[in-house]
Amino acid sequence: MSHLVSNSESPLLQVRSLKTEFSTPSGTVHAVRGVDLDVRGGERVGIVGESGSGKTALALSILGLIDPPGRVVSGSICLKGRELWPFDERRLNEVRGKEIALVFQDPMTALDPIQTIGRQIGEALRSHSSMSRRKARQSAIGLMQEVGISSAARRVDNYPHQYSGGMRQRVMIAVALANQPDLIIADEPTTALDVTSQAQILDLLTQICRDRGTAIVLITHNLGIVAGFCDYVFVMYAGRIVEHSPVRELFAHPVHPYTEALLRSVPRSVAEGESLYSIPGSPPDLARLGRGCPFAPRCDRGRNEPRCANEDPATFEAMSTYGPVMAECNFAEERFALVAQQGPGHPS
Amino acid sequence: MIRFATGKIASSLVTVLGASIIAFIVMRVLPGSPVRLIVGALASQAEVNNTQRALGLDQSVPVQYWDYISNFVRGDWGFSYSVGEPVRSLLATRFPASLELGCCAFLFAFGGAIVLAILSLTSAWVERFVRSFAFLGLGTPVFWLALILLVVFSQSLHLLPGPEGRLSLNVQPPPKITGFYTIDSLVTGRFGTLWNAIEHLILPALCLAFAPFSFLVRLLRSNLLDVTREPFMAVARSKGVSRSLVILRHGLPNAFLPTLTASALVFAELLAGSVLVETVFDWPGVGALVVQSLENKDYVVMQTFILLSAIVYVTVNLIVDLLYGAIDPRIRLARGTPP
Repeated sequence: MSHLVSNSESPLLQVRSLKTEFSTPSGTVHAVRGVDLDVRGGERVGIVGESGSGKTALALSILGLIDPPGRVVSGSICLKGRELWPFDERRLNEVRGKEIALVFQDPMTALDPIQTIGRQIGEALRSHSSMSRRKARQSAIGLMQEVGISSAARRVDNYPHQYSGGMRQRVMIAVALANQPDLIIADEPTTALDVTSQAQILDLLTQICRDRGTAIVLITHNLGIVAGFCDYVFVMYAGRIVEHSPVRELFAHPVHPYTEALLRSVPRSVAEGESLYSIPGSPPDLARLGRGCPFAPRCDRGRNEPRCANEDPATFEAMSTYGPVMAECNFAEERFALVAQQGPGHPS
Repeated sequence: MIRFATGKIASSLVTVLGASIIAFIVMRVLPGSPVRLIVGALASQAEVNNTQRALGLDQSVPVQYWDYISNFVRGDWGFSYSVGEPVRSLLATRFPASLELGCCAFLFAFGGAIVLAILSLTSAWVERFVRSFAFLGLGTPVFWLALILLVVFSQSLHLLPGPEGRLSLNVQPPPKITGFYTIDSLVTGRFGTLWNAIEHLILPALCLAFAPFSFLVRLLRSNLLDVTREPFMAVARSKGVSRSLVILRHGLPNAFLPTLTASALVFAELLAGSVLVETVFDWPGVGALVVQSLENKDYVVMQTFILLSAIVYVTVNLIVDLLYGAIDPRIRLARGTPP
């Protein structure tokens, strides 16, 4: 079921059959439709998918931060062997920031505009210990230095509007680091930043993972980032994990047609006159999902297959050269076998 | 901050100056001569001329304006012929009465708005109640509300005093320090008088507060709702801060900012006194005085009142602007801070 079955070490975070729904006037939106996710200590995990595939909803669900009209309907969220769902606010407040920290997508809106940076980092510290404001400010300066904010002692009393986007994201990472969590979930941490800042933030996250042994779940739609950063990748489509595999395996031999299409649509240099690939159609409306594979209408392989349209796709699990692979696709076995014939490392 | 403050103060002074010019001109453009009102219809032309000279009305308009301003600054606000008392002593008793009532009403409106706006976030039931209550407040005539409150709380339940002004007839006013009976009796240790003054404030202040409360609670509620959708609220919760603390610490201050200007306007409006509420509760404030002097063409009272109101209004707005700067660093630090 998971890539950890073969591993005796128990996972840091184990999510099973997680379902999150939002009630909207146009019907119930099934944002997360039964997701399984495993993260081991110190591991770098990527979650990839298009906008609206439920990546952010998944991240917020894990921390119980889904607000009405949304709610986590069922499932299991197990952190270090302790079950979090059904949620208990008091227990969640101990977990949030202390055991799992979140880094949000847009650093421009993630900071309270009328409080100093120091106070906002300090808030993370003070909510988990009875630290004095003065002490928290000192610790905040230390954290700011650690995430690479120069002249932190002076800038600790600045306000968010005096920081650039990249610097604010560093602040957010400092907030996340404050209580030395076991896991940081970074939801598109670089999407709102320019390319230079993106690289710096990723370097910073890599360094944190290496030096502190913090596990990182990186949510992104950017496969380039996944390739450079993650050990293991989960591909999310229409609220489900449709494929997960070690990063090298995923890039070399994508099993799910959606993953393959995603990889093909990464812009690369093309000959003049040749057009860039894009996946035809658009993701399904999560309020009106019927039976069948949600990717079938866009799938080169399954578009005309009655079983793809009418039945939930079969789950395929196998062991590849780099580790365990899972794909929810009726053709997965056939495709995987094809790859095995071609030998490891051969691009599909 | 100092530069920000001086700029605001300077522009406030200009506003007051403008108000003084308007007050001056309006009172002279209005039909009817104040002199005739003073000397009577049968007085001789010589008498009229004498009175005119005594009032300085024979001077050129700029000179008259200068006299008006310099006298106002010196504290010589003229003599009200319609009441038969110097304007200054007249306003000295009337203005504090309106101010005290206005401040009290503002506390009710503002405090109530904050509490109910926060509560309405907690449950849909409270939210619906607050919304309909606020609608009621916007549509209820204030004099009708005053009468209902009197019938219920004074006549039927005997909880609060009837329309008898600021104190019961058998209670002596405290020695005058600020003119606020509550503060004066508290400072001088007359707690019986203090309680009596508070009892007399409650109903008129509630009446006066209802409409502004309805306005503010709707504004604050919608601002608060907007702010709760801001990512930084989720960020604060992801740090492990409880939901209610996040609302108090991040939600309220941020929702408060856009409400501040509106609150200031409401406050200034309340301070200027209300003719209807003051009439119903027999409250000796400026509201009734103004109507009376307008009817009597008592322009000395009017122009002083207009100028004083302008000063109160501008001062309140000035305080708000400075508060704005104090709360919102983006305004305070708009200039002259290195990035």
